[in-house]
This record gives sequence, structure tokens and C-alpha cells, in this order.
Amino acid sequence: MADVTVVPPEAGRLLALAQRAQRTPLPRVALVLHLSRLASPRLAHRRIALAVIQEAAERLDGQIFPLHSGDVVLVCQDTASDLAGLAQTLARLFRAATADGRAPISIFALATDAAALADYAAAQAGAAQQSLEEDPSCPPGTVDEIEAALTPLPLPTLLRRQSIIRLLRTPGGGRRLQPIAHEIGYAAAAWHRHHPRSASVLADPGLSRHLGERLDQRLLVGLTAALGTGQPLDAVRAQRAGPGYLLRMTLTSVVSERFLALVAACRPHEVRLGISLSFVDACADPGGYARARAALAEAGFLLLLGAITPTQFALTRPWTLQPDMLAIDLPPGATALGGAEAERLAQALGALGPERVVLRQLGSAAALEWGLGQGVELVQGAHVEAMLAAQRMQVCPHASGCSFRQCTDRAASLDEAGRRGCTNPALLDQAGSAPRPKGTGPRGTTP
Amino acid sequence: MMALLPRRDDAAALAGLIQSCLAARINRQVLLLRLGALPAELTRPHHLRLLFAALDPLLGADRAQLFRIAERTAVVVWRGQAPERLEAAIAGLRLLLADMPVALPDFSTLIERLELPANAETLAQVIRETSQDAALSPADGAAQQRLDTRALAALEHSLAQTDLASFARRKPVGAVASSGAVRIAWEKRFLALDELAATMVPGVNLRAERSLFRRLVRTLDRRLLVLLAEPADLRQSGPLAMNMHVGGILSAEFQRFDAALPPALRGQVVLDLAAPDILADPRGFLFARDFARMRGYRLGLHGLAQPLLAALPVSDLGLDYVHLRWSPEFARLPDAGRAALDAIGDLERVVLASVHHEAALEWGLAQGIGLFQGSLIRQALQHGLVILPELTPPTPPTP
Repeated sequence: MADVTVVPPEAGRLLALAQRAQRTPLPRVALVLHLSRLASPRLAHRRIALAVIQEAAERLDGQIFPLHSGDVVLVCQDTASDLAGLAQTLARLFRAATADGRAPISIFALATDAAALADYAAAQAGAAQQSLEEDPSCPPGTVDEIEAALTPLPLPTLLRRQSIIRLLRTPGGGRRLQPIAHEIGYAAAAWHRHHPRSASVLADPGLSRHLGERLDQRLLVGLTAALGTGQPLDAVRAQRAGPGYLLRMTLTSVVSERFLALVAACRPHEVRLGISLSFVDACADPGGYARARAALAEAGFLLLLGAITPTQFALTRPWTLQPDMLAIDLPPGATALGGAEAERLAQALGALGPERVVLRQLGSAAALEWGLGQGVELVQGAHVEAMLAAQRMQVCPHASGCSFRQCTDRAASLDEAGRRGCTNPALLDQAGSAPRPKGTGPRGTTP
Repeated sequence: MMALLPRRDDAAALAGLIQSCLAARINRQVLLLRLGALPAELTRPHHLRLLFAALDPLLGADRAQLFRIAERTAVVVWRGQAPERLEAAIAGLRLLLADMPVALPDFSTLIERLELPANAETLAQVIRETSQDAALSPADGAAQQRLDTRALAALEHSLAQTDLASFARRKPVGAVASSGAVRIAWEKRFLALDELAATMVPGVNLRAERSLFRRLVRTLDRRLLVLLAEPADLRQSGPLAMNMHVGGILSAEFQRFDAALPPALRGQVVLDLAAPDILADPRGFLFARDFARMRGYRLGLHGLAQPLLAALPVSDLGLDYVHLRWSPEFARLPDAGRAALDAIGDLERVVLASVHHEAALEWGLAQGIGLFQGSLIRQALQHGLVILPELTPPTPPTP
């Protein structure tokens, strides 16, 4: 049977036009808007781009080619000033959304660049269809369905643990990892296993926050019940064995009755927790944030303000909300923050001190080195977990039976079943050797 | 038209005025209207709206201010005697309640004439009682059913099948010249959310669940866009503003609104964003901001609480306006107000909101602010008043 290649119609038409121009030069230009280069392409990007380009097409006798990859091509008269204006408008509009810093616009003059345009069109002919959907409108009842789907599951199976560490330089020039806190929170990304529409709830800021608030009530009850039981969720055990727990929670949960019950239950055990709140939550409810901050100070718990993306960080000064600690996220896969964000990081370090600023989502040694170069001391992320696992496996007498992946997975688990196979669970919790952080906050509290 | 629901800051503003009158021995006349004794059949939102609107003639009195301190309680304070206006207001109320097919309480239990500072304690007691009522009454705030996913779904279902035109409202933002002359800078368009709730999901407190309320507001933003995109409405409209979330600016509804916008209104529409929306989707915000600017819209920031001014440097956001809510602290502690303005930077960007009494306006003008929003401005525009013949220092109201 003959091999048949189906060329998407728009790319095929563009290719035919470019090939025709190679034979007979045309006095036209092709402006390519590379929407496929956007970090997080949305239907709105395409809709707005098409509207802007459509207006230009009417002025410039143009022809539009919306390609499967998401790119949009306008072939029109070569009217230099109009085209430059359009290119400038589109470049300005899409500058912040472009993933890799590459220009979102290319221009081909069909009289001279027809071959290059043909190459581009040929490459586009094989591109996969970009799947963009309108922001999903999720029925509010989906929150109830997800909660119902998660309720039968044991609480520890829904949680994940990740460490914050301080990197200390040793006299020999090496580095020592000092655990500061074990952050625990719901693994929302894994919920789709339990409910097919969880992604649409997570995409809705209001519904996802509401779901988080409801699930936090279960977490508070579970933590209170686990105190002193010796289970992995037991904060007493965590504090005795390692650096203690930092709980990722919603703002309203921290001023709820169940939170007060947890505080009261912790007091006889002298357990001091840390609470990680979202910066966006704090900005959405400044009064609630002030109450939560006061409640945490009263309880002697530490307040970390986190979930701060680089773009949020570039626009804000979160340290002015006076948390005990601040945590900034690196973009996924990135090895550094951009210029504006790096400048903000320096300001945060200057305002709070390196002992109170955490750089999160470190995924590589290069990212770690960049952070250290900026003066960061506290770090968190997959690379940190890998370093901790490597350190554990170096000293663990039973490590020969375990894989590196097993060691990191077990350390992230708070569920007995998830830790099964580890014969040295105390080491998973950094037993015994966890020094306290120095001056982690104005109140001198530590998680 | 008068706002239907009570405003917490109205109670605070009235309390502040009482204190000023006591401290400086300032005389003011007061009319207290309490509709709580009316039967339930006569206290539905449209009844209350009409009854409170009967007070309008009185708002033309010298330095008249209206304080809506509870759902069914309003206070008008004015300077000097205004017998005709008072009589007109009372006659309007009597007329509305005449020939009602239900038993009514004695009319004298609904209205009360008071004076300040002589009756300061009585009025203060009314504020205390109404704030307690708000906590206890099933019709008000805390004791209402909290918005939950079921009620939200019911409300969204009703919204999808209802023409919301009758819930559309406007309130002016006034530009005040140093001469005291006020003109409308633009009109804020919005949907009367609480009236909507009272009609579609009575007894549900929408704001009790902040996260679900946020979702509802986003839905309503889009419905407002659909309403405003009506060509007849836009043709007759002057400069306007509306609250809008980032996703709303990027929505198909906004594109339809943009396509319907007459050339004369291009550049005359302000889109007011909320800080949490910006922060929840900062990349979307940057894109929406640049797109809106490209299409000639001006952008504002509303609902920014004072503690956030330092955390969210508005000069970095590339916005045209910032709504700063008046706080009596600004007059008491000049540094607090000055710090808020310093954080914003350019005073031409500031819209001083919640301007319900003279102290707010005087403070704003003394600082160099030119744009104001609040009941005082609304009344001045309604009655064509020059509200401050000359700029006075920020002190309590003059006797």
C-alpha cells in the first residue's frame, strides 16, 4: 500500500503558495505569529491574535492561514509601515507569554524568502494539532464528587512530604544538608486518578480553593488524631525524629475551630508546627491573613508565605506582609530566575535574611548552584530530594536492596504502605541529627 | 437610585460623624428611618428600595448625608432646618404605605426625628443594635445560610435563564475641581449582587464563602459584558467603568463587547481589576493588560486593602487608576493616609472611594486627589451641588 501523508489543509495551502512564489516571485510578505512558542497557550491567545490579524488582513488585502501547531500566518501586501506596526503590536502583546524568549514574530518577504517560507510550511505540515479549549466551566457539584471520591481513602495516602534543607559549607569545601522542615500537603496533581474531572476543578481558582478548604478540615482532624500515636502522620514523632512538620494549608483553615483544636492538642506535647500559606490567599483576604498571622503567633507556630510563582514575584513584594519565612518557586525545569525576579529575590534576601528565604522547585544541580550564587541558603525540590536520598543510601546499611527511586518515593510518603520495604524508616525521617534553624523568624519559632 | 443593602462603612462613618459632632459641639438634624417593624410582605428588596428612595428630597438639604447602617435602617443627617424637604420625604413615605392590604405598625414607630449632639447616645445605641441584629437576624449576614456548592449551582442555573437588565446599576465617579464643582468622570456599571441573591437564592449569604463567591463574581462579570454590549445601551452611554477579572477580558464576551463599542466610547472605558485576580493569573494579566491597552481601554485596581499597598506596588502593574478606600484613620493619623498615597505614587491615578462624608472629601482634596466615589459625590451630582466652595483643612465638619 502506498504511503499517504495527509497535509493539514492550511499548511498545504501555505506550502503551495510558497512554492509558487519560488517559481514566480510575489510582491507580498508573510508574517508568522508563533503561538506554538507560548509557554502556556490558551484559546484566548489564538482568538485575540486572529481578531487583530483579521483587522490587518482587511486593510492589507491579506490572507490568513491558521495552522495546526497554533501558529497564525498572514500573507499580505508589502506595505512596510502597516506591517511593521502590526508586527510591533503582536510582539508587544505576546512578549510575556513566549516560553523561551524567542521572538514570537517572523517575517518572510515572498520575493526573496520564499524558500525559507516553504521550509517552514513543510515543517508545519507535519505538526500535531494544538488542542486548546475554552477555560472549562466546571459545575460546582464536582467539588462534592471529588470530596466523596477521596473520603474513603486513608488520609496519609492523599498527602506528600517534601523537605526544606539548609545547605551548609563544611570546612573541607564540601556541603552538608541540614533539614529544616518536612512540608506536607495534599498531592492535588494525583487526584485525577480518583476523579476524572479533578483537573477542571483545579483550573477554577474559586472551586479549587473551596475544595482545598474542605479537605483541610479533614487534614486538621487527622493530624489532631495522630498526635502521639507514633504513625508517620504523628507530628510528635516527626518533631522528635527530625525537623518537624510544615503544613500546607488554606488561609481560612488556619482560623477555623479545628485548627484551634489542633493547637490545643499540640500544646501538651510541646509540638510546634509550621504553616505554609499561599501568598495569593493572603492578598485575597488581608483581614483573614492578619487574623491567621496573629493566631499562629499566639500558638507559637511558624508562618511561611509561599506558592509564589516567578511572574507573581516580579510584580510584588511579598516580604512586606511580614511572614516568618518566604518561599519562591523556580519555573518548572528552569535553572534560574529572570532579571526582574532575581532582583526581587535579592530584595527579599536583604529584607528577611538568607535564613528565612526558601528557593523551591529546584530540579537540577545547575538550579541549585544558581540559587547558592544568589545568596540563598534554604532550598526545596526534586533535586534536594535526590541529594537527601543519595545521602541516606550512602550511610544506610540496608541500601543495597533498594533503588534510588524507591528511597525518594518512600521518603515522600506518609502512608505505612507507601514506606513498605524500607528497613530503616528512622533515616527516612532524618532521625536524630536535625539541628534547629537559627532565628527563623521574629518570634524565634521553628517548625 | 439608592443602594439597596447596608454598608458596613456607613455605620462606621455615622459613628465617626457622631463623635465629631460631640467633640466640636456641631449641630445637625437627623431623621432615623427604621423599617424593621414592617410586615415581611413589605420588606422585599423592591419595597425597601422604594421606601428608602422616598428620602431623596431630604438629601438636597445643606450638607445632607445618608447612612444606610442596616438592611432596614437608614439615617439622614443634615445641617440647618429644611422643613419643606423633610415634609416631602415624610409625605412620600406615607404615600407609599397608604392603602396597603396588610396591617401596618403606627407610622410614628418607623421614623424618628433626632438632633446631634443632643441625641448622640440614642443614635450610637441604634448603631450598636443594628450591628447586633446583623449578627443575629436570619435576614442578615452571619446567620444566613452560607453559600455552598448546591446553592451556587442553583444560582448559576437561575442566572443562565434570567434577563439581568433589571439588576444593572450605575454609580458615579466624580471629578472634583478645586472650585468645588463636581462633574461625572465616568459611571461604574455593576450588577446588584445582593438583590440578585435575594431574588434567586433568598436567605443565602453570598460572601460567607469567599472562594465560591469569587467564582460567582467571575460568572457575573461575563453577564455584565453581555448586558453592556447591547447597542442601544452603548449608544446612550457616557464614559463607563466595570469590574472585570483577567479571564473576562480574554473572553469571547469581551470581544463581542469590544466589537460593539462605538468609536466615541473608545478610550472612555475603565476596566477595574482586583488584586487577587491579577495574582492568580499574572501571565494572563500581563497579556490581558496589553490587549486592553491596545484596544484603548484604561485599567484600574479596585478593592486594594491598605495593608496590601506595600506588597503590591501599583506603579509596577502598569495601571491607570487605583481605588483607595477612605478610612477615618487617614484624618486621625495623617501618616497612614500619606503612606497609602506614597505607595500608590501618582495622585492622578487615585480614586478615593467610600466618600460618604465631608471629612473624606476634604482630606482627599487637601492631598491633591481629584477623583472620588461615594454617596456624597452621588448626592452632589444628583442635586447639582458645588460641594466645597473653598478648600478647608481636613478637620471635623464645620458647625
